[in-house]
Amino acid sequence: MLDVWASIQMPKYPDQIARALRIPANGVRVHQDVDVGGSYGVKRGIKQTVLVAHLARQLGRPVRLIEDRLDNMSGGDAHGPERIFDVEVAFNNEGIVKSMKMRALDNAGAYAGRAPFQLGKPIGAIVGPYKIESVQYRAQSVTTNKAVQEAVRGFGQAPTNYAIETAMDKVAAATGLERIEVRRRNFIRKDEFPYLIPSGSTYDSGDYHTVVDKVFAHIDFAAMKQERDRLRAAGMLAGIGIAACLEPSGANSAFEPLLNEKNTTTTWMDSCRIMIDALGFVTVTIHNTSSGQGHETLVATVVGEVLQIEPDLIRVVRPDSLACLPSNSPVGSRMAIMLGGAAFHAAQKLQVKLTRIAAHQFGAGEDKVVYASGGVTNPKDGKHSAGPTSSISRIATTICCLKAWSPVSKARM
Amino acid sequence: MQVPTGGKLPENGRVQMYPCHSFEFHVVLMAIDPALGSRKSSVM
Repeated sequence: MLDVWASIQMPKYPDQIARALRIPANGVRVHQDVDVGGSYGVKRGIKQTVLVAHLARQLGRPVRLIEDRLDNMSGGDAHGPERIFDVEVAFNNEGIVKSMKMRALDNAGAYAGRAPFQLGKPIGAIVGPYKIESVQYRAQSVTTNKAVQEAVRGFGQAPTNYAIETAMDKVAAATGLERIEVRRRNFIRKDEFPYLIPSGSTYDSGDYHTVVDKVFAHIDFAAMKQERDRLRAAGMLAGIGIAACLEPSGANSAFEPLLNEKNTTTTWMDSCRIMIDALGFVTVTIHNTSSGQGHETLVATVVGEVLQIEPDLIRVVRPDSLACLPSNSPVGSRMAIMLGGAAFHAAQKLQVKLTRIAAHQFGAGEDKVVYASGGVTNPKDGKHSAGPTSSISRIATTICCLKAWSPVSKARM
Repeated sequence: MQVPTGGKLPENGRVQMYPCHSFEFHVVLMAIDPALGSRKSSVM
């Protein structure tokens, strides 16, 4: 058995280690109950794991890999995007941008890797926060003799945001308007949500103008300008940058349907398992490495809301990879959306199952039993058993005794 | 073709996606010493 504790957030990490080392996947056990530290692109690399594991297995002793920055760069580790943008925008004298052509040329490095995905994800928010009515987006990814590219900044959108914002600055310069005024004029208004952008994404909600107003209420922009001028007079290269941007979350789920309309779900699922013990307490198992995002708080809150149980009473654990359902890690800002969705569905399934069992015990129809406040109401006497240590406990105990139902609910999203 | 709109968790039990589009607004004062290359920033 190869036991792995690593500062890695690679999706399908155990499978990839097994494949690289040519050992059975069930011979790799990745321990997920460690925080992986910072969350960024190279945390998806498995080079270090494979090298150390291979040598340790060959030598039969502990092995340490020490790699300085130059070793890291020359040793084939991944880099961020190296992307050239060519942006054209059509706008009127009022600074209203009507149309945009964007071409992106991306250096993928020696292997394609995830570089094409980084060009694909921005399709989900290709106009940023702006009401640009038509867009042409042409993205090309080329292989070169450089190191491979890795998914960074959750992922792929940041360079596109920079290109859009640069175009907005150009519009301001051409019209003589303040940069922030150009942005305000082009923002989607809060009464226009949900808003369908040309590439097919629907933004659900937002109030961009209020956010900007609050920022300017908080800062002294005139003082910032004075400070900029003072720095320039002192010989410094100084300027004030303004950026308004959207960050699509959910990783592949944000753009896969846009690339293939037959894809009604995402190929990158996530999962969790909810168990009720014989005393009626809830334990949720997740398989998602953490950089401190607060998986436990999120999952306990979602499950608690659905089962109507106090979240503090819910235990969320991250066991090793062999004891978990499959997952795809929190990369690409996907954790809250995908893991939260899995937790929601699992809790829903469990609530339905508890209601069915309660109906069986009460000798009543399922439609007569109401689940509320963490418990069920007996339709025959109207008595409500609430709280995890009462009705759910009895149901869970019944399940354990009868062995007829599994007190476990699983969901994938 | 539209992707599903977000806003609330699904009620029909169907696997659903929520492309969440968070909005960010930044105002940054940046200064670079042309001789040393050192930078000083004030981020809002």
